[in-house]
Amino acid sequence: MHSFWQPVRKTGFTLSLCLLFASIITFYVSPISLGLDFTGGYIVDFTLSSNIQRSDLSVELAHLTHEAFTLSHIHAHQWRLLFLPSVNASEVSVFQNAIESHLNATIIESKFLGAQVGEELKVSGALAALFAIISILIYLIARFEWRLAVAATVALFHDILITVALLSLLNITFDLTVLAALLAIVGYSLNDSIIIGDRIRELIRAKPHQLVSHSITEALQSTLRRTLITSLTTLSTVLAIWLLGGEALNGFSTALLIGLTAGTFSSIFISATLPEFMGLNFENYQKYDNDEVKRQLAEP
Amino acid sequence: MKNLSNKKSNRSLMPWVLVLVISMMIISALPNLYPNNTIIKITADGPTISASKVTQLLAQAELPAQEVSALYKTGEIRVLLENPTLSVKAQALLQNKLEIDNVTVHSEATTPAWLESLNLAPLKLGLDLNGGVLFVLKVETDKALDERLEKLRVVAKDYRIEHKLRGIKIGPIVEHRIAITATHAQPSNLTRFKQALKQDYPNIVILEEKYKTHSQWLLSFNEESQKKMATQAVDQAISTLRSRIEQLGITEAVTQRQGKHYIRIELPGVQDPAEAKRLIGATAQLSFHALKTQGGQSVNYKNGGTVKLNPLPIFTGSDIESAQASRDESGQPLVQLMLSPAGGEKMRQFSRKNVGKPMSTLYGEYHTNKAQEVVKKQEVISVATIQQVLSRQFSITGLGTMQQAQELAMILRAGSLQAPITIVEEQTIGPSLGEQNIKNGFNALKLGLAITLLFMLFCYGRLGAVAVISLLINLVCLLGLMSLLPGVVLTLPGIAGLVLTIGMAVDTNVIIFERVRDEIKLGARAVSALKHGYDQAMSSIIDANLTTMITALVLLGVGYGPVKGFAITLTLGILTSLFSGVLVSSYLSPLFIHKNNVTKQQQVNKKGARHA
Repeated sequence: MHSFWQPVRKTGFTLSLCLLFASIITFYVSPISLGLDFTGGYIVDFTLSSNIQRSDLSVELAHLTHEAFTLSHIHAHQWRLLFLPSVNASEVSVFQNAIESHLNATIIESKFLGAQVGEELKVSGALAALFAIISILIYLIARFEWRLAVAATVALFHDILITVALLSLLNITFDLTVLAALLAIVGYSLNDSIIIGDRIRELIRAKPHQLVSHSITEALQSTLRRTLITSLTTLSTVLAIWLLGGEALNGFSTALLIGLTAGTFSSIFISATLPEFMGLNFENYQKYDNDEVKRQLAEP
Repeated sequence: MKNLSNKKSNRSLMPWVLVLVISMMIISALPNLYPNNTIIKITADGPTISASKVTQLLAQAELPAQEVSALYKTGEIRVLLENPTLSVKAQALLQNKLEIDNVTVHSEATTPAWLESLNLAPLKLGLDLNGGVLFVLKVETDKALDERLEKLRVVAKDYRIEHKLRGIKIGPIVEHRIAITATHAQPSNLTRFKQALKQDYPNIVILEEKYKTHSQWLLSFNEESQKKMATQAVDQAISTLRSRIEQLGITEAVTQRQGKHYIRIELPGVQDPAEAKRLIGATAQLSFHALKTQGGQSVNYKNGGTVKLNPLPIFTGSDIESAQASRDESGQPLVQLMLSPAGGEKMRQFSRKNVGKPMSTLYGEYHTNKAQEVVKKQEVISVATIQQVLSRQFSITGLGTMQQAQELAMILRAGSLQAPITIVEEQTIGPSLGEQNIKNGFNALKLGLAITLLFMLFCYGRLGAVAVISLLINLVCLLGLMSLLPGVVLTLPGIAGLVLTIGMAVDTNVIIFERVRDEIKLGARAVSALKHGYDQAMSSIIDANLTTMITALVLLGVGYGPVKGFAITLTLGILTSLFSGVLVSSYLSPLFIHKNNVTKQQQVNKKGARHA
């Protein structure tokens, strides 16, 4: 069994790294489109005299402007259109005249929404993420071992980066609900890493003379059923949101679907495999005096 | 093995504690079965309004009422619309048609009396579920600072005139500083001036620059007091906005600080943002000034021309205790004011000295000009001759329309803002979308729950039933806890958090059952396998939940709006899933194994034959 797992783990690990780099490249090729929560932009509120489907209206509006926009239905005949702040102000007014003459629309309000709130949210969001990651890292180092903590963090970034990269490829707007999804992914990713890490620690302690790679394989095997069952149940609930949650939760559920899949993958191939490459061994789990630990680590 | 509870007698009390906690949670979750009603309340002070007239008015406006009842004791009329989401529209209509401003919209619980007597209420729904308006306001703290500086400038000018200090020029405010230039001719004047200012304003800093012909001072408030002023301005704005929203009759509004300079206001149920916006964003300020023939501040007069007035007011809007809009004999709108005792004293002293002289009412308002800058517009709305000694009660005229008079009265009642505020974000979420969102969210929840439960039964059989029961207990506890805690609002991401909690809770059971399975495989007997399984799984479960808890708490501390809604459900969800997944199910599992004694035992015996 071990001879089967070892190459699989190495291949999976390499694949994960490739995906990680691919996602970083994706950021340069197709940058993520931030939602209005983050950017600000032009808002045009208008009413139409007739009933029309959102998708139909969207197509009609696309003929009138080259700029990207988001259309949302407010109520009855009232619609709201959002342009990114990079759009020229004159372009917006040309567009307004166009919908007034072509679609017989009445403009209720047109205004520029500053990105100040967005800027502040970005800063506090980044701070929150940083603070959360640091505190979790400290907890993991204290509870486990630094190699497992580092591996869990790498797995975490792997999951987040792949999710964000795929979202940008799928052209999903990054808004606050997607942010909430990313935070949930953080939770799940750590959860998976910890469960496996916990078992690795247990097995290495119980069988000090077994090769570390064998212990890791054993840990993976014994948690495999749990990993699959939990992933399947959570993925099926997320799938339920994706199917029934409607448009408001579309970005959220898509992000979670990607993130949870990546999280399951990385919990096996990164958080369990990376510590081995970083030289995890039995001694790391024994309590020695400080000097002795140093000597142990200094040995080749 | 037969008498598990006897063997551990110290544990025999525990199940009853659990049953007690669970039943408490069930009771606090109960009010959610009874949704709130939105009621319009009309209280008339003057002539009584008949219920039939209200019904008729509503029918004409195509806002049919389901129930209109009048309470003869208090003269109060209560209206329940067929479509309660239109209540705010109906409120505006009634206010307009009946010409009274005591029409308010309330959300009224329909919970049975015994639940209400326990102080239990259903879960509050967020904007995205209930529909409503979201405003994010920026408090222009810089403007508040300039306003204070302007006062300082006026004081400095007065002092200069009073003490006849020549050769000192007081310039305008530039970059939150006042530039004062002085020739070198009379240095003693300067030091006196400086000392006097320092005495009255200990929190100012003076930066001195010496030139050949003159020296220049830059007067500003020190950094600490600037910060304090900014915080005060935001705090004052929040409390003013809260009382304004109360004046609007919206009881479930959420007003909170967002970052340093922003305020977030959620008005559930409001469907016409225009009116709310006008009243919330209103920066109207009223002050009363004596006129000056020489010097003073020259301000535009509403009826044309300019008026010169003393920039230091006799009293301001903050001295006003109550305000009521009405009409005078000729039908002109006016606002009747009632001053606070302190304000009344100021007024009496001033009017006693100035009978026969004019007094002006200055109306100030901030607005955004075309260049997106916030500017203050001031106008004298009336100049009246003081006929007699005035005290606490008097009225002001020259307000234009009745609606303007009503709005001014409302703002005066609620208090004016120290610093102007600008609306930087505004979102309207329609009630139809809200209803759809609730439906979608709960459908997703039901489907997710069904799949998960079936899956657990399929994977673990009898033990799966334990997971199913503990999961249901978990959901009820979570709902109960969320209804019980004040300030918890269920939002769409919150429902998503709820769905995720199911996943996490199941994970706890899966980890335990997998351990139990391993133990049984190794040949342990059912009960000891169960015990070992729970013990061994504990460290993994605690680690996993603690780290998620850290994330959730950080989010709770820093996040706003949707992020916060998600974090709340997640935090409470972790607590309840630990409670039900670990504690409750550890008591449930042996019961299920007992019932299933024969089959389990056979299974175990087969595998454990060698050990026996």
